[in-house]
Amino acid sequence: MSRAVDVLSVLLLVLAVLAFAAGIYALGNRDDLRALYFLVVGALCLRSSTEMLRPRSRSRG
Amino acid sequence: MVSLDRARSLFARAYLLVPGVYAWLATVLSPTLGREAPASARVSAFLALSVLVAGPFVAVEHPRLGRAVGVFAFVALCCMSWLLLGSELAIDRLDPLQAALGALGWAAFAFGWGSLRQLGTVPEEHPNVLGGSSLRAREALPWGALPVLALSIAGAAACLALAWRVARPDHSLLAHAAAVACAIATLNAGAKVAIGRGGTQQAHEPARRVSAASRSLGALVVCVFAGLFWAVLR
Repeated sequence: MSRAVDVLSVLLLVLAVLAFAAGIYALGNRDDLRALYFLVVGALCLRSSTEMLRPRSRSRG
Repeated sequence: MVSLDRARSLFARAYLLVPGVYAWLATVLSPTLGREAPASARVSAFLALSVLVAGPFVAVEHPRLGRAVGVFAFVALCCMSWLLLGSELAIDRLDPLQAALGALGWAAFAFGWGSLRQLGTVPEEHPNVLGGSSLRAREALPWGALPVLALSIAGAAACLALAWRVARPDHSLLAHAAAVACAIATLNAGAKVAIGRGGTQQAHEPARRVSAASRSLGALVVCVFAGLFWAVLR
Protein backbone atom coordinates (compact mmCIF):
# COMPACT_ATOMS: atom_id res chain seq x y z
CA MET A 1 0.00 0.00 0.00
CA SER A 2 2.86 2.33 0.85
CA ARG A 3 4.31 1.63 -2.59
CA ALA A 4 1.01 2.73 -4.15
CA VAL A 5 1.30 6.07 -2.34
CA ASP A 6 4.87 6.38 -3.66
CA VAL A 7 3.59 5.76 -7.19
CA LEU A 8 0.85 8.35 -6.65
CA SER A 9 3.49 10.83 -5.51
CA VAL A 10 5.55 10.25 -8.67
CA LEU A 11 2.40 10.45 -10.80
CA LEU A 12 1.51 13.82 -9.26
CA LEU A 13 5.04 15.04 -10.03
CA VAL A 14 4.60 14.00 -13.68
CA LEU A 15 1.21 15.77 -13.79
CA ALA A 16 2.78 18.89 -12.30
CA VAL A 17 5.49 18.94 -14.98
CA LEU A 18 2.87 18.50 -17.71
CA ALA A 19 0.63 21.20 -16.20
CA PHE A 20 3.49 23.69 -15.94
CA ALA A 21 4.51 23.01 -19.54
CA ALA A 22 0.88 23.37 -20.68
CA GLY A 23 0.57 26.65 -18.76
CA ILE A 24 3.61 28.23 -20.38
CA TYR A 25 2.57 26.81 -23.77
CA ALA A 26 -0.85 28.47 -23.32
CA LEU A 27 0.87 31.80 -22.56
CA GLY A 28 2.52 31.51 -25.98
CA ASN A 29 -0.91 30.94 -27.55
CA ARG A 30 -2.26 34.18 -26.01
CA ASP A 31 -4.60 32.16 -23.79
CA ASP A 32 -3.84 33.79 -20.43
CA LEU A 33 -6.74 32.37 -18.42
CA ARG A 34 -5.90 28.80 -19.45
CA ALA A 35 -2.24 29.45 -18.66
CA LEU A 36 -3.13 30.65 -15.15
CA TYR A 37 -5.35 27.61 -14.64
CA PHE A 38 -2.64 25.14 -15.63
CA LEU A 39 -0.01 26.88 -13.50
CA VAL A 40 -2.30 26.68 -10.45
CA VAL A 41 -3.04 22.99 -11.15
CA GLY A 42 0.70 22.34 -11.50
CA ALA A 43 1.45 24.04 -8.20
CA LEU A 44 -1.24 22.00 -6.42
CA CYS A 45 0.06 18.75 -7.97
CA LEU A 46 3.58 19.57 -6.84
CA ARG A 47 2.49 20.43 -3.29
CA SER A 48 0.40 17.27 -2.99
CA SER A 49 3.30 15.19 -4.31
CA THR A 50 5.74 16.43 -1.67
CA GLU A 51 3.25 16.60 1.21
CA MET A 52 2.51 12.90 1.04
CA LEU A 53 6.21 12.01 1.31
CA ARG A 54 6.77 13.00 4.90
CA PRO A 55 3.68 13.72 6.98
CA ARG A 56 4.32 16.23 9.75
CA SER A 57 4.27 14.78 13.25
CA ARG A 58 1.07 15.52 15.14
CA SER A 59 1.34 18.17 17.83
CA ARG A 60 0.79 16.96 21.37
CA GLY A 61 -1.71 18.42 23.69
CA MET B 1 55.62 33.55 1.77
CA VAL B 2 53.91 36.73 2.91
CA SER B 3 53.76 38.01 -0.65
CA LEU B 4 52.25 34.68 -1.76
CA ASP B 5 49.51 34.97 0.87
CA ARG B 6 48.90 38.55 -0.15
CA ALA B 7 48.65 37.52 -3.80
CA ARG B 8 46.17 34.77 -2.89
CA SER B 9 44.10 37.22 -0.85
CA LEU B 10 44.13 39.69 -3.73
CA PHE B 11 43.09 36.97 -6.15
CA ALA B 12 40.23 35.89 -3.85
CA ARG B 13 38.95 39.48 -3.63
CA ALA B 14 39.27 39.96 -7.38
CA TYR B 15 37.37 36.71 -7.87
CA LEU B 16 34.51 38.24 -5.86
CA LEU B 17 34.75 41.73 -7.33
CA VAL B 18 35.28 41.30 -11.06
CA PRO B 19 32.01 39.48 -11.93
CA GLY B 20 30.00 41.87 -9.75
CA VAL B 21 31.61 44.93 -11.31
CA TYR B 22 30.95 43.51 -14.77
CA ALA B 23 27.27 42.83 -13.93
CA TRP B 24 26.98 46.32 -12.46
CA LEU B 25 28.55 47.94 -15.53
CA ALA B 26 26.38 46.03 -17.98
CA THR B 27 23.02 46.21 -16.25
CA VAL B 28 23.06 49.10 -13.74
CA LEU B 29 25.52 51.76 -14.88
CA SER B 30 24.63 51.54 -18.55
CA PRO B 31 20.92 52.50 -18.16
CA THR B 32 21.66 55.11 -15.47
CA LEU B 33 23.88 57.02 -17.90
CA GLY B 34 20.85 57.83 -20.06
CA ARG B 35 19.80 61.50 -20.29
CA GLU B 36 16.39 60.89 -18.78
CA ALA B 37 17.67 58.80 -15.88
CA PRO B 38 16.73 60.35 -12.51
CA ALA B 39 19.48 61.45 -10.13
CA SER B 40 18.13 59.12 -7.41
CA ALA B 41 18.82 56.11 -9.66
CA ARG B 42 22.40 57.30 -10.17
CA VAL B 43 22.91 57.75 -6.42
CA SER B 44 21.50 54.28 -5.80
CA ALA B 45 23.77 52.82 -8.51
CA PHE B 46 26.82 54.49 -6.97
CA LEU B 47 25.89 53.15 -3.52
CA ALA B 48 25.50 49.69 -5.06
CA LEU B 49 29.05 49.86 -6.40
CA SER B 50 30.31 51.06 -3.01
CA VAL B 51 28.79 48.15 -1.10
CA LEU B 52 29.96 45.73 -3.80
CA VAL B 53 33.57 46.84 -3.29
CA ALA B 54 33.20 47.00 0.50
CA GLY B 55 31.72 43.47 0.79
CA PRO B 56 34.88 41.39 0.14
CA PHE B 57 36.97 43.63 2.45
CA VAL B 58 34.44 43.42 5.29
CA ALA B 59 34.18 39.64 4.74
CA VAL B 60 37.83 39.15 5.77
CA GLU B 61 37.05 40.00 9.43
CA HIS B 62 33.27 39.45 9.48
CA PRO B 63 32.22 36.87 6.88
CA ARG B 64 28.46 37.10 7.54
CA LEU B 65 28.39 40.89 7.51
CA GLY B 66 30.58 40.94 4.40
CA ARG B 67 28.23 38.58 2.62
CA ALA B 68 25.21 40.64 3.69
CA VAL B 69 26.83 43.84 2.43
CA GLY B 70 28.41 42.39 -0.73
CA VAL B 71 25.43 40.30 -1.80
CA PHE B 72 22.15 41.41 -0.26
CA ALA B 73 22.79 45.16 0.01
CA PHE B 74 24.32 45.20 -3.49
CA VAL B 75 21.37 43.35 -5.05
CA ALA B 76 18.86 45.50 -3.13
CA LEU B 77 20.49 48.74 -4.29
CA CYS B 78 20.67 47.49 -7.89
CA CYS B 79 16.95 46.63 -7.74
CA MET B 80 16.25 50.08 -6.32
CA SER B 81 18.15 51.66 -9.23
CA TRP B 82 16.14 49.66 -11.73
CA LEU B 83 12.87 50.64 -10.04
CA LEU B 84 13.85 54.31 -10.01
CA LEU B 85 14.81 54.16 -13.69
CA GLY B 86 11.19 53.43 -14.64
CA SER B 87 10.60 53.81 -18.39
CA GLU B 88 14.35 53.96 -19.08
CA LEU B 89 14.29 50.17 -18.69
CA ALA B 90 11.38 49.61 -21.10
CA ILE B 91 11.81 46.39 -23.06
CA ASP B 92 11.96 48.15 -26.45
CA ARG B 93 14.95 50.20 -25.24
CA LEU B 94 17.00 47.22 -24.08
CA ASP B 95 19.77 45.75 -26.20
CA PRO B 96 19.25 41.94 -26.18
CA LEU B 97 22.97 41.15 -26.48
CA GLN B 98 23.91 43.50 -23.64
CA ALA B 99 21.08 42.10 -21.52
CA ALA B 100 22.26 38.52 -22.18
CA LEU B 101 25.85 39.41 -21.30
CA GLY B 102 24.61 41.17 -18.15
CA ALA B 103 22.70 38.03 -17.16
CA LEU B 104 25.90 36.03 -17.54
CA GLY B 105 27.65 38.60 -15.36
CA TRP B 106 25.03 38.15 -12.64
CA ALA B 107 25.45 34.36 -12.83
CA ALA B 108 29.23 34.76 -12.46
CA PHE B 109 28.63 37.12 -9.51
CA ALA B 110 26.51 34.45 -7.78
CA PHE B 111 29.21 31.80 -8.35
CA GLY B 112 31.91 34.21 -7.17
CA TRP B 113 30.40 34.40 -3.69
CA GLY B 114 30.20 30.61 -3.45
CA SER B 115 32.96 28.78 -1.61
CA LEU B 116 35.27 26.64 -3.71
CA ARG B 117 38.11 24.32 -2.83
CA GLN B 118 41.39 26.10 -3.43
CA LEU B 119 43.28 25.06 -6.52
CA GLY B 120 45.94 22.40 -5.93
CA THR B 121 44.62 21.26 -2.53
CA VAL B 122 43.59 17.65 -1.93
CA PRO B 123 41.03 17.17 0.92
CA GLU B 124 42.51 13.80 1.94
CA GLU B 125 45.92 15.42 2.48
CA HIS B 126 44.61 17.86 5.11
CA PRO B 127 46.41 17.33 8.48
CA ASN B 128 43.10 17.01 10.34
CA VAL B 129 41.63 14.39 8.05
CA LEU B 130 40.43 11.19 9.79
CA GLY B 131 42.16 7.99 8.77
CA GLY B 132 40.58 4.64 7.95
CA SER B 133 38.51 3.28 5.15
CA SER B 134 36.21 5.59 3.18
CA LEU B 135 32.69 6.05 4.51
CA ARG B 136 29.86 4.20 2.83
CA ALA B 137 26.37 5.53 2.30
CA ARG B 138 24.04 4.51 5.14
CA GLU B 139 21.11 3.88 2.87
CA ALA B 140 20.58 2.95 -0.77
CA LEU B 141 18.60 5.26 -3.02
CA PRO B 142 14.90 4.32 -3.34
CA TRP B 143 13.68 2.66 -6.54
CA GLY B 144 13.52 4.87 -9.58
CA ALA B 145 15.38 7.78 -7.95
CA LEU B 146 17.44 8.64 -11.02
CA PRO B 147 14.53 8.47 -13.54
CA VAL B 148 12.41 10.68 -11.26
CA LEU B 149 15.25 13.20 -10.95
CA ALA B 150 15.85 13.05 -14.72
CA LEU B 151 12.15 13.64 -15.31
CA SER B 152 12.13 16.72 -13.08
CA ILE B 153 15.25 18.11 -14.78
CA ALA B 154 13.69 17.50 -18.22
CA GLY B 155 10.44 19.14 -17.06
CA ALA B 156 12.30 22.17 -15.73
CA ALA B 157 14.26 22.50 -18.99
CA ALA B 158 11.04 22.15 -21.01
CA CYS B 159 9.43 25.01 -19.04
CA LEU B 160 12.44 27.26 -19.68
CA ALA B 161 12.46 26.35 -23.39
CA LEU B 162 8.70 26.88 -23.84
CA ALA B 163 8.98 30.41 -22.43
CA TRP B 164 10.85 31.41 -25.60
CA ARG B 165 7.67 30.74 -27.62
CA VAL B 166 5.91 33.75 -26.09
CA ALA B 167 6.16 36.57 -28.62
CA ARG B 168 4.33 39.41 -26.82
CA PRO B 169 7.05 41.52 -25.13
CA ASP B 170 5.38 42.08 -21.75
CA HIS B 171 3.98 38.56 -21.61
CA SER B 172 7.34 37.16 -22.64
CA LEU B 173 8.94 38.64 -19.52
CA LEU B 174 6.13 37.17 -17.40
CA ALA B 175 6.53 33.81 -19.14
CA HIS B 176 10.25 33.71 -18.42
CA ALA B 177 9.69 34.63 -14.76
CA ALA B 178 6.95 31.98 -14.46
CA ALA B 179 9.16 29.42 -16.23
CA VAL B 180 12.05 30.05 -13.85
CA ALA B 181 9.72 29.73 -10.83
CA CYS B 182 8.22 26.52 -12.25
CA ALA B 183 11.67 25.11 -13.01
CA ILE B 184 12.93 25.79 -9.48
CA ALA B 185 9.80 24.33 -7.89
CA THR B 186 9.94 21.26 -10.15
CA LEU B 187 13.61 20.61 -9.40
CA ASN B 188 13.05 21.09 -5.68
CA ALA B 189 10.03 18.78 -5.54
CA GLY B 190 11.65 16.30 -7.96
CA ALA B 191 14.69 15.94 -5.71
CA LYS B 192 12.42 15.39 -2.67
CA VAL B 193 10.30 12.79 -4.47
CA ALA B 194 13.41 11.09 -5.90
CA ILE B 195 15.12 10.47 -2.57
CA GLY B 196 12.26 10.87 -0.08
CA ARG B 197 10.43 7.65 -0.95
CA GLY B 198 11.20 4.51 1.03
CA GLY B 199 13.49 4.62 4.09
CA THR B 200 12.41 6.41 7.23
CA GLN B 201 8.99 7.63 6.11
CA GLN B 202 7.89 4.03 5.57
CA ALA B 203 7.08 4.01 9.29
CA HIS B 204 4.13 6.30 8.50
CA GLU B 205 0.89 4.64 7.52
CA PRO B 206 -0.14 5.13 3.89
CA ALA B 207 -3.50 6.55 4.97
CA ARG B 208 -1.72 9.13 7.11
CA ARG B 209 0.51 10.11 4.21
CA VAL B 210 -2.50 10.64 1.95
CA SER B 211 -4.38 12.56 4.64
CA ALA B 212 -1.34 14.83 5.11
CA ALA B 213 -1.86 15.98 1.54
CA SER B 214 -5.67 16.05 1.80
CA ARG B 215 -5.98 19.84 1.57
CA SER B 216 -3.83 20.11 -1.56
CA LEU B 217 -5.48 17.07 -3.11
CA GLY B 218 -8.95 18.47 -2.33
CA ALA B 219 -8.05 21.81 -3.93
CA LEU B 220 -6.63 19.93 -6.91
CA VAL B 221 -9.84 17.92 -7.38
CA VAL B 222 -11.93 21.12 -7.16
CA CYS B 223 -9.66 22.76 -9.76
CA VAL B 224 -9.90 19.77 -12.10
CA PHE B 225 -13.70 19.67 -11.89
CA ALA B 226 -13.92 23.45 -12.35
CA GLY B 227 -11.71 23.11 -15.44
CA LEU B 228 -13.89 20.32 -16.84
CA PHE B 229 -17.03 22.36 -16.17
CA TRP B 230 -15.46 25.38 -17.85
CA ALA B 231 -14.43 23.28 -20.87
CA VAL B 232 -17.97 21.87 -21.22
CA LEU B 233 -19.51 25.36 -21.00
CA ARG B 234 -17.22 26.67 -23.75
